[in-house]
Amino acid sequence: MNEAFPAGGYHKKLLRINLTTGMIQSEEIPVEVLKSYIGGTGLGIYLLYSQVPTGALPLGPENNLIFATGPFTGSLVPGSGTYSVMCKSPLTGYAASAQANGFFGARLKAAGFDALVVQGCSEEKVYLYIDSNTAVLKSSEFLNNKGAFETDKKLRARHNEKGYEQKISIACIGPAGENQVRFAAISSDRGHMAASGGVGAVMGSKNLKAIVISGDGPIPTAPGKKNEIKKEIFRWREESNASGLGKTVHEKGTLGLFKPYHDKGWVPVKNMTTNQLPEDTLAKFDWEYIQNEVYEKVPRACHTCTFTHCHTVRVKKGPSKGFIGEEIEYEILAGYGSNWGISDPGTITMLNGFIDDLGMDAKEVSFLISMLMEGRQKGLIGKDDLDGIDLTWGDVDAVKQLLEKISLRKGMGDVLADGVARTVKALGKEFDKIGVYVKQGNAPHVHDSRTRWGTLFTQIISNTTSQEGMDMTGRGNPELGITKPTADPDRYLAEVQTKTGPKRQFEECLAFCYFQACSLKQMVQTLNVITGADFSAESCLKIGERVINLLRMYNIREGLSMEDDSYSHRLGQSPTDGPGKGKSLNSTFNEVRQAYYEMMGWDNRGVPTAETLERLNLTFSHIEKVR
Amino acid sequence: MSSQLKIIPELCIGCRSCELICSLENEDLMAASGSRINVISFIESTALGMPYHLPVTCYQCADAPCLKVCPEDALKRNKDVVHLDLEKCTGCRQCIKACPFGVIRWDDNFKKIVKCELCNGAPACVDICPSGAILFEAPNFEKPESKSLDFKKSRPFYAREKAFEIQAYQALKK
Repeated sequence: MNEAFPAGGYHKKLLRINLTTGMIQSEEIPVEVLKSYIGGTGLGIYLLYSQVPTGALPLGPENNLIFATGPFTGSLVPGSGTYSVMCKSPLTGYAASAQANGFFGARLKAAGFDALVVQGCSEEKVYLYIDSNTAVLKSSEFLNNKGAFETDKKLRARHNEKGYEQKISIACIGPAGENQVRFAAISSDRGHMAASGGVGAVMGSKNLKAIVISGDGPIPTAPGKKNEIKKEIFRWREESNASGLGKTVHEKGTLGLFKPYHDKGWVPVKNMTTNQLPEDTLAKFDWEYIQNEVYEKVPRACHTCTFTHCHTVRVKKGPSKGFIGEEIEYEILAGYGSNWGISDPGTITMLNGFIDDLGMDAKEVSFLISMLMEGRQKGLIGKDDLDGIDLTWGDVDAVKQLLEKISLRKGMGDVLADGVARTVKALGKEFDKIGVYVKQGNAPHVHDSRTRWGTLFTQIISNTTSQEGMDMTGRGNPELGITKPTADPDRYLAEVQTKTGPKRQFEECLAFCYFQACSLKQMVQTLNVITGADFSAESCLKIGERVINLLRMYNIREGLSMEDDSYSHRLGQSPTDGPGKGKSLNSTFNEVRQAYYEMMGWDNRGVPTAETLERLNLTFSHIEKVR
Repeated sequence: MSSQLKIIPELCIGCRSCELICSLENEDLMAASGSRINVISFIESTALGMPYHLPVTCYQCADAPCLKVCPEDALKRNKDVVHLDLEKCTGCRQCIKACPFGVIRWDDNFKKIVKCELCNGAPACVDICPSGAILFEAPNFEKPESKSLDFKKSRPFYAREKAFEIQAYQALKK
């Protein structure tokens, strides 16, 4: 590594906010750490591992809430408004890593910080205001149990941007976060959710309602490299615009994926009791119908977006006519639509806004409600068990009532607010047969992943409460040496995960929008130009591998065992219909898991071996020193 | 007449790439505050409740009020561009007060006045705009067309124009 690093890309500063004592101070981040972990999730797990004591309660004052940006954040790199939130997850008890796009990350960087570390717990409810000169805590009593959108509106007005947006970003929690619902999300820039792992509950447990950032200052880049930087950025933009999503997403959104996924049997319908929708419902879930007939839309892009993925929409027809909210994604359409037996896209748009406002994680909400609906249908749970709410397939009002109860932890909502896995335990009966979750304790992404092996496997062995690697089912990646699609759940599945995991986690360290991704080569070139470093593709993948192993070591420290690398009964069942009928991961899972451990250089219980840790320079000496 | 910057707010997606490339081009540093072009995103009380992005920059007025008020003669018209001579500028900010569009700004990070001078004839914001909302061309009086992506098909164009009128009126009232 050359001496110049980092000539740009970082302020080398983090802001530490102790809510117990009220002390706020700026600290230097050692260059050694940035070299080894880059930023984003890497920096986050380093801070989590070294500064949160073993066995800390996820919702206690010892847990830290870490907001980390990467070297590209806030720059001209496409989709660079992203930030990573890390903490110990109240859902799983292991590391949580959640990302959100928008502008928040960019403005945090523009205010002069690479990361925020929130620790302790405030006595009264507060919000944090940060700009390049000040960081203060202010009372947020006037925002108690207010939704995420109203919180944004009110705080924006307080800080001189009433009704418009120019340099202020707000990350806040809704009532779900305040009441420590274990799958609460953090909402930034009105509808961009950092959702996985219940990070919002941790923010709520600290009595921190919101973080307001005003930032328009300089983003550090290597000086005198103007033309090189411009060249790299234009190349990146060309690459990302030529990719599959780049060509279509401004028009179709991710809704364009629904039909192809459905044809492959990857869309969950009614809690995965089937994966086939009737023709008339399928016609309503067609992207052309939704984008042209159901709503009208205007772009509301994230920071340096190059093809406008996000739009604000206004529903034109149906019972939710007139509703204004965010454009829905594939996962929302599947999660609140097919999975709950709701077939009106306008209503799904409304539910999306409603749940974002409460501040909850879509995947956990989707599989929690669908499980209860199936339980109701099968007579495992009655109307009286749900405080008189008659939760049947497709009943929008019942869903809304129940979600509101969950967000306030009222009545039965107090039990359900603990997520799918805990609810299964609490309700007993046959619920362990129908609950959809991975054994660490979080719900997977909203796919019928039972025959989508890549997506399923990467979440089973994930150390981040979300996808750890990339799904290469059906497509290859020559750059990573993945040549054939993973058609069957064999040893090759483990190989694909071993190869994609480091790349995905390296991308999470850089912190940019996944949709704007380019080739690894281009990423590394841009990184070198902006930071003045001399990374190679191999050294970058090694960083990704280091991050995975440190996440793994953290989770093992907190009690993870190989039994957690598993999945619920329903996820192992063969689909009863559709193209995947009769197939299941069950028969080969143990073999694939062992192969994966072996390829990662872990022992047969999934613990990284001493040689592996040494190869990745994870000797923990520098970490021990900081602690 | 030589080329001018034309901004079509209806096509702006609000990504703020123009702010960063402007600052990079002119200050060798990416900072929204150092940009000569600024995007304001109206998000509340808009017509139909839909957001509306308005990029604003210097119009290089034919009869520029800033020229007249500068006590140091630091602002000069050179053909179609109003130039600022930083050597002469004392930072008195009279021009900021005089500008009817509020597009001359004092930048706190760089401690100087910033205003658009069209990047010596090749404005950087034009190339970076992903939706073709910023054009640089000789004036013509026909309706300009989008450079690359055609958002018009998927957008309630009429509503947006109405929104613009209302927003412009409200901005003036402020």
